[in-house]
Amino acid sequence: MSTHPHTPEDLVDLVDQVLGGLGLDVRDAVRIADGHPAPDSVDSYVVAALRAGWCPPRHRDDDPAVAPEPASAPQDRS
Amino acid sequence: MSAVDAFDLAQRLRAATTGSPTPRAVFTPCLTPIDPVAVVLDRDAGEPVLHAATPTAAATGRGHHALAALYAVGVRLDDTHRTLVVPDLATLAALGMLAREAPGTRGGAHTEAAAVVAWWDQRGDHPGTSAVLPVTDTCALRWALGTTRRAEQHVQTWRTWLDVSSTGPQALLDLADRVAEGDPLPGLQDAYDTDARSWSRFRDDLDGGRDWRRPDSRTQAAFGLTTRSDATQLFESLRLRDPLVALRESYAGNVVTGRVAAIGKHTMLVESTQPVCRLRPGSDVQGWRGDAVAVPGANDNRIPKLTAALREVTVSAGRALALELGEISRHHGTITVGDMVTLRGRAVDPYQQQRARGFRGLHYRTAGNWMATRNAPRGGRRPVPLDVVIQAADD
Repeated sequence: MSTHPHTPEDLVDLVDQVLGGLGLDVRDAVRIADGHPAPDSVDSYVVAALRAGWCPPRHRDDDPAVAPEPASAPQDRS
Repeated sequence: MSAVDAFDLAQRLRAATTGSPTPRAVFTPCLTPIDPVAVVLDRDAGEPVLHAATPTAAATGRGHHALAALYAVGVRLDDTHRTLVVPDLATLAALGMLAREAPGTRGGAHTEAAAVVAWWDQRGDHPGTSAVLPVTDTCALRWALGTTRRAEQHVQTWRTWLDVSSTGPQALLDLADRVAEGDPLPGLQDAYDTDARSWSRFRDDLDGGRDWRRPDSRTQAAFGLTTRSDATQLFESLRLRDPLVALRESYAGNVVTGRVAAIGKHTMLVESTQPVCRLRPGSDVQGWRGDAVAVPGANDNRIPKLTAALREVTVSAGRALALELGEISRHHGTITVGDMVTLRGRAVDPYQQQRARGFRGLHYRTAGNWMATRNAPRGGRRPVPLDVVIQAADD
């Protein structure tokens, strides 16, 4: 499970915009998308959407382990 | 926060975590470029500088002679049209302006290149066209990156994420090759035929002495709006044939998945736990057995399909959406109570669009129609559906 993503700062801002109201940060969002339980404050449809976007069906077909491998060292590529 | 925001965010988080673009579509959202010509327009200096390249040639033009670079790489009014590859549609608009300002010597290099640019400019307004490939927009239809939507508007971002080492117009050609790799969206081939007909008509008009710089007549302008609107609707409809697009749209509410709760002789009740449904009561819908990603191909008879009219959408006490369907098709076959089904708006039929344009053309020329006269149209008011008003307010 990739629970320690290295993300560009602008992506962190994006998480703040989308999930900030729920008090979640990047690491929380990735953990939920990865399949970890979500806090009660997060609606089930948000959880379902996060997981579906994180792991589209094509990936499920291609990757039996479902979760992606952690990146070696993603850089700020924007 | 909407569910589709969470879906999009997760795709970006995945890309940032893996260091690779996340697919947003199974099919390529464009056709393979035809004898492509890539253009980068540098407007930072005092005068525009146009860099053009094909797989075998490159040229640069400046100022009033910028379009000569296109002529130098072989842009002509040839028998078949070519694909223009640009960073974005803003570049195409700037090119169109250059063409309109180009010296108008008949038969000159500028004139021929300017005419081709004018055709590209109008085709660029038709989503799915084979005539223009705006790289950043097309890439964003195919992949999500681990960055913001704003960063995706820059070619440099795509070069980095797709490991394209070339620069300038050559980079655009390489990116176009990457984004067009794979099977194109089913049904998109029709766009090529439409472009080919448009190109042929355009050349015939020029041969007949028409000046493309002359503004459209009312009828031509009306037709232009109609073809643009039809192309937009058709492309959006075709996109829903892509399983990953259908999955995303299920979180936006344009695709609804649920369980069949009851089936009558011509009716069906579908209950869904989705939070939102944007299918409008009174509209025609179609569907298939299975979830959103099980979307069948046009000729795939393995998955039972249905067509129906959406009569009503209500919310039950348990917060489930109840969709009441009428006039269901008889060939839904083995769909039974308890099955999972997915519904979307009825697919746009390009042949029906074509027929409708033909009828409209007749109507525009009918005596008494204000378009056939020099008079201004009379204003009129009519009720606007509430969801259209809400959508307009959101925009």
